Amino acid sequence: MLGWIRMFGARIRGQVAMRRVEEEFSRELEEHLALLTEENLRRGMTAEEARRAACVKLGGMTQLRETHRNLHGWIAVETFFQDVLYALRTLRKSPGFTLVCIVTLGLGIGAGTAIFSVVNAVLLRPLPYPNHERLVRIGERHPGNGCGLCGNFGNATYANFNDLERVASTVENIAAFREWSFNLTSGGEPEQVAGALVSGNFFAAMGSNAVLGRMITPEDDAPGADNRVVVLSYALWQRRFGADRGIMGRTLQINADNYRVLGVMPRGFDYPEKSEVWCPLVPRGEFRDNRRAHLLTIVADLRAGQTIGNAQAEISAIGERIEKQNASEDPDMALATVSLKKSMVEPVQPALVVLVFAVGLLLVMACANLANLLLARAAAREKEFSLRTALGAGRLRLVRQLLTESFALALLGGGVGLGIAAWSLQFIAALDSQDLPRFGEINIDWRVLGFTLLVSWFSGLFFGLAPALSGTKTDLNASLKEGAGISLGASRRGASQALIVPQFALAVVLLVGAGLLGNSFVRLLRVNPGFNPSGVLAVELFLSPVEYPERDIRGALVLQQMIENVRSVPGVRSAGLVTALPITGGASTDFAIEGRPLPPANDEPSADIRSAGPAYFRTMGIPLLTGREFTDADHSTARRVVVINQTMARQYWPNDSPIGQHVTMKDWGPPLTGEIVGVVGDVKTNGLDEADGPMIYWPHFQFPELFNTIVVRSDGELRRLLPAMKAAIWAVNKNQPISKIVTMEQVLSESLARRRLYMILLGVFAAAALLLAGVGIYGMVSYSVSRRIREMGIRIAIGAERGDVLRLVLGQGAKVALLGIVIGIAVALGLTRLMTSLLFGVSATDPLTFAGVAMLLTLVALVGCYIPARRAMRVDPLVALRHE
Amino acid sequence: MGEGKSEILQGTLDLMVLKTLAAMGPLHGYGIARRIEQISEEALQINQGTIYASLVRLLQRGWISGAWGASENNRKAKFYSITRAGRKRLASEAENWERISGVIGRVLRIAERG
Repeated sequence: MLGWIRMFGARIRGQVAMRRVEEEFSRELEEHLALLTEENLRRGMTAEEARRAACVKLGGMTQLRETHRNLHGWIAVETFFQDVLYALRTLRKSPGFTLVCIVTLGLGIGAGTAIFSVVNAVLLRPLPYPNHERLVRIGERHPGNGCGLCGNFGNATYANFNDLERVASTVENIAAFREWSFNLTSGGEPEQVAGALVSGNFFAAMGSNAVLGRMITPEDDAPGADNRVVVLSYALWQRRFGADRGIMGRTLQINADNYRVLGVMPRGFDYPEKSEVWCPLVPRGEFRDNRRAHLLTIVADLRAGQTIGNAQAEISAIGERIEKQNASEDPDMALATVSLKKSMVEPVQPALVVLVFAVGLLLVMACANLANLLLARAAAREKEFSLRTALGAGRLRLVRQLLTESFALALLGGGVGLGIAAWSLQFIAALDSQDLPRFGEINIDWRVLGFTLLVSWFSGLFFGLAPALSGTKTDLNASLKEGAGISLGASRRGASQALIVPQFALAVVLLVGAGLLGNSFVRLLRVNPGFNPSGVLAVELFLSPVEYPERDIRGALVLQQMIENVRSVPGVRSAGLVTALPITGGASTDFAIEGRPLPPANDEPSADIRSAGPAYFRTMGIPLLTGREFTDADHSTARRVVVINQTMARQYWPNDSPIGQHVTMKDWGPPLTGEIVGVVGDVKTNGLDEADGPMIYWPHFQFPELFNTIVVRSDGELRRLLPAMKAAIWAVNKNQPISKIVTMEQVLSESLARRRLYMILLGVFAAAALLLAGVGIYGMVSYSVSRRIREMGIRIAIGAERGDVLRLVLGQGAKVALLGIVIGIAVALGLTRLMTSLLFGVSATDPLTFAGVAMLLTLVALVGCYIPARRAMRVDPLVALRHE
Repeated sequence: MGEGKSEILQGTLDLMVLKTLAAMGPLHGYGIARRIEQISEEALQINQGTIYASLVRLLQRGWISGAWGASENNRKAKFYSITRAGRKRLASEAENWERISGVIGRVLRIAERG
């Protein structure tokens, strides 16, 4: 490519300099001639003779100049420009054809470019941290209870983090952090921002430095030191503090405590998960040795010269040693290491691979379609080529000119494609799916531009070569004599059919993929979430850990007051409280059932736990199956009670009632035992596609937490309640930030955002494929009919029924389409296995989807054939026979 | 296009031009052509124009350089001189040529005897 550009540049420069060079050469020849003439004069010739002999001796001046010019590469450039101009002129002469080509290609290239920009940003580009090549994530694995998406990759305990830091030699800067919420109250409205509590070497591990002030260092994180320090993100500094450089060293009110500002991170640094604030982790005594609270995310840098493989081997060995020493506390724990980038993008990788395949197929289809169009066109231009050949154009010259036309088309299509891609990226950005990793980084960069150019170029070659070669293979005599041909040459018809078969096959693959995703999506929508989402608004609150220390009853009291205030807001039918909403995930614990033999340490049952306020179940519409709900009487000093879900009841008390039984929660501080007083229906905890598991609810007075959500049910417009609700909350504590306000319908819809995006994208590709296949077969058949008009006329004239003609034409198209569909089904059966992880409730070889797609495509093929077939059927033999 | 047709002949002409420039110093096109004819004792009658194709090729490869100067009768003419790269090339080409012509000569002699 570069060489080509350089050569082109040289030729352009050559062009400019050419005039001068040619003039000089003429003068040089003139001088030569003069010297020769003088020599001849000396030999005694007459002036005229001398001049003539000199000319003969030198050779033809014009010819010499021509050779000279050729040597300077002038001709090649001239031909190139001639071809380009000619190509553009030809394309402009048939605007319809050109438009169809450009749009077809634009769709293919546009989809390809859009998906490539996503892949480029998410999978190809390095993470935007200086240490990106060395960053790894270390996590714990436990059998059975990993989260589905992150592949059993769980958070670590502080004790394990300490052990790792002490002994690991393949990695350095082992750092831990905990995602955390921060209530900012100084200046302006109270605001909750995302952030992290980080160990002292966190920033060193990332390799990032502060742009202003300094980062948190190990000294800031040491117990007993000045731990009330904070580092701000660039965005927060700009937004909330007006980019004031004087903020350094100033004190901010964060979580109702005073924090000194240390520094500001560079623009774009927001790890983990759009963080805006970082504070020291400061491990306190009991937390330091804890082997049950899996709260920390660990990142580290590979040491120079170490590979990820070395680190994996060393760290899993360390994990085994730790597990042996602490088998009673944390059984079956294993440590795993992956690159940080992989840990971030792994959840979306399978979907992106599927999409890349899909756009690749679409592009191939678009090219095949174009090849077919050009083939038809080349056939129609046979006479032109014959004429040009007769006038002395070489075949190479004709091929070159046709290819130039293809490249011109390809580049125009690429330009349109780039526009389409830019537009679709805007669309993807507008979806604003928070849970898609790195999607904020998607844009069109030089790599994407290069990709588009390359794809356009290759597709130009791909769809242009066959028609160019076959179109210029003319038998001069035959085609000049023949006039407009009676029938299409068999070989060319074969080529055109050969291009329709893969189009139908690819359309099958894309449609099956989209069909399976759509099917999964519909099934997901039909899943009962276990609660009634309509008319429920959720308001997330994070209590300041300083005002209300963890497990402190005062926090619960304040929340209770807030709920009561909210209940009195007009329009609120009921209000409740919970620590984590359904669908959004939450905490879990190991538990034991009183009076049953303790299972071995590594086989303890586990359940999700939530703390709920009195009216929570009623407000959410979670049905109470037996026993009772929590009441205001379930206070901190009252008898400890729990409510469990249906799955837990069925699993552990399949034959008798669980009411009156006792369960003990083992994690989260000293074990707590409560009596089961009620059973409620299952709700989906992590997403609609997850199976139901056991769940234990505590009254929020008996197990208070800092993260809480007030849920409100109302018959009216939910958003209209907000001002009054905010006022009700702030009447209790004017510094309480309200972090997130969502309706439960939004929560459900957001949980499906990723799937919806995949479905829309693949659906659009499949629709485009269907269109291309339909247009393709229509083009093929109608072209073949128009070339065989006379043949049809003859058939009808000698007695063929119209039905026979119809059958002939339909049969020809249907045969090709069916072959394509059969091949497509075979290919799809192999390929859909790739997308198993994206499916829900349907198998990758779902016969209904396959059959539906086959029928749909057959229908499209028949319609595509029928329109031209009707034309063939209505041929008037007299007109047809006279037809040229 | 014409380049492929008579490669040997072109190569020979290029070699002769190089040698002439190496031996005589800067010369214009006419001078080179004249000199080659003289040395070959008029046995080689070339179309003098073909020398210019050879000159362009040698210029493009950087083996000779050209500059405008005054000719014998004080008119402007372009003088060509051999460059250092040209001298190197001439040395290796000359050696090559001698080896090949030696081989060809031997082969031809064998053929005569046989």
